[in-house]
Amino acid sequence: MRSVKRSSYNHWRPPRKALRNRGVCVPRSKRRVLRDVISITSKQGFMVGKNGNRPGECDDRFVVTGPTSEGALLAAVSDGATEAIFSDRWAAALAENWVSDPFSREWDDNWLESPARQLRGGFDLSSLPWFAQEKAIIGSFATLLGLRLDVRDGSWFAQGIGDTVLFVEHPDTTIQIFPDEFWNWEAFGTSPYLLGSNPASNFDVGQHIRFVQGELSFGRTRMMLITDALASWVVRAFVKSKGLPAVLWEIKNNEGFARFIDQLRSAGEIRNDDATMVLLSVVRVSETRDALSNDGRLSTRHPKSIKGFHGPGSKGFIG
Amino acid sequence: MPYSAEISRTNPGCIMFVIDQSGSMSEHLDSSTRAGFVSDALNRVLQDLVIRCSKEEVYDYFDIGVIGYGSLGPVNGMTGSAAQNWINPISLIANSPARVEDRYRKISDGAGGLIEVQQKFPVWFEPVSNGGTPMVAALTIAGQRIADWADAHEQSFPPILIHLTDGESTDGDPEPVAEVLKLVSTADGNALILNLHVSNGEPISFPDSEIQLDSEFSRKLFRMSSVLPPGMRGLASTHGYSLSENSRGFILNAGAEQIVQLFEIGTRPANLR
Repeated sequence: MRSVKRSSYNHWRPPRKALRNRGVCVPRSKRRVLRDVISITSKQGFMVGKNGNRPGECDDRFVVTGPTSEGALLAAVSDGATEAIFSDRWAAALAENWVSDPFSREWDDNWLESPARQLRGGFDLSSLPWFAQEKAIIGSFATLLGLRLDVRDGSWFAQGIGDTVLFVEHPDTTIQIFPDEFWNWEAFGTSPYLLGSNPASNFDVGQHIRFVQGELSFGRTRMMLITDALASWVVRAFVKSKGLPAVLWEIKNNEGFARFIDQLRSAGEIRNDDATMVLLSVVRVSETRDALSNDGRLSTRHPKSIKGFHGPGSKGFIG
Repeated sequence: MPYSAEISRTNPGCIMFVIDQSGSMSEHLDSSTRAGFVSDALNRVLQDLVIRCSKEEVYDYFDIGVIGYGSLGPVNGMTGSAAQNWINPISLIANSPARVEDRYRKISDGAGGLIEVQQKFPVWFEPVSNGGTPMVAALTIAGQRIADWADAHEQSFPPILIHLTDGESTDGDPEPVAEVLKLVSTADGNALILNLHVSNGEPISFPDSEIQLDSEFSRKLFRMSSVLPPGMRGLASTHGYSLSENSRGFILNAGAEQIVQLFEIGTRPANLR
């Protein structure tokens, strides 16, 4: 039964009513909308470990993949618990499994079997020292935030558990934060519910999974998936300036991200925690035919500022 | 703000246990003796500390010392390579238990019930109950060691001393030693002293005034104890305690439950990073 629900997700479409009103700016009497064009103009991911950790020691993981042959762009970010064992591997297993198989709408405990199997395959319990055996029995823990965007019709949905946050900046500059309890930055101070690799630790997990869906409006939509320490700073910055910090979009590589995070830590703006950020910029335009034109030419209307088009078929990446 | 330093490998924390091993610790407590129960509780808290600090390896988030005092005076409570120094990094503690037993423990089954599972139980600290109560000598050695430690870890969370006794000192007044000990500091605040008094009476937990105490001995232990910082007050509240800003790290007439609680509260000073 579960596979049926998953399948319905993979072919999810916004309701017809939602498709009717897309805010086309050209009078229908003069232009006829032939189709929408959705372009991914930016797709980046950055990750940095805690200050003082050895290079490569970071319990966050992210995966960005697609668009697939079905037109799906999928991104997932997972933040492994610092005190747990194999947190990085568990975070990777969760993110990788989500992008290949998002949760069903009604939570199914069986979803965790695949990432748990992937984790168990990575170590031999009996060969671990006593403390690692004990820790492995307790299990690994991590947040998970996944985003699936359909570049054919502009529909998207996100699923999340824990304090990894999705920020959506719509073309009209309104901001959406998911899960919505993180509009209050003090919510980051609490202990979030995490997905555990030991089934005993996942009691009532379905009650803690959040879901949101939407549809891209015309123009540029920017989406950011960010782990808790930096997400808390973004929310505080938003409260001060009523906008998402533009500086995040000026970061071009992981070295730049590491420098930026280091500056925030040095200034006491964020606590010393792993930090991960995935940035997606998507543009939706309508391809129209000028009804009054003699030659019937097609015209595609792009905002002037959009550069760096990456069309469907660009490769995914993993951090 | 004091008591807010992050605990990391660069800036580890320090926890020193000072445990009474006098003859009176052979008295009955639960299904064991006081000494037997305390050694189990201490071994359990050391195990929890090691597990909290471990991933695939043990990260040295803490330096740990255990001092016992009884007929032999103050002695190092550790065994093997960890017995060579009064304070050791927790990775050394993890790798030097006297033995590792298999024990059974009840844990949640995730659906509201309990299941019994076999767990490794490393033993570092053995139950001993013999002789007098040389508390002053033990606290003096502990104070010297944590002062040295604080000098070498200026940016760390201040050292924590957890002292457990079931009787009065037989080698003098420990209060002046405790007063000096409380002056040991790092940039993040003064050393914290938590006192557990074990007996069969009615427990008085985390008092905020001497008025609540009816003997000079209990008032002395109250004065020897530090005011709990906010983080530890928060942890105490998770055990059902409602504390004031003046509540001290002291439990009078502690039974089995209170011993375990104070060990847990005292060994979780801040988030590990």
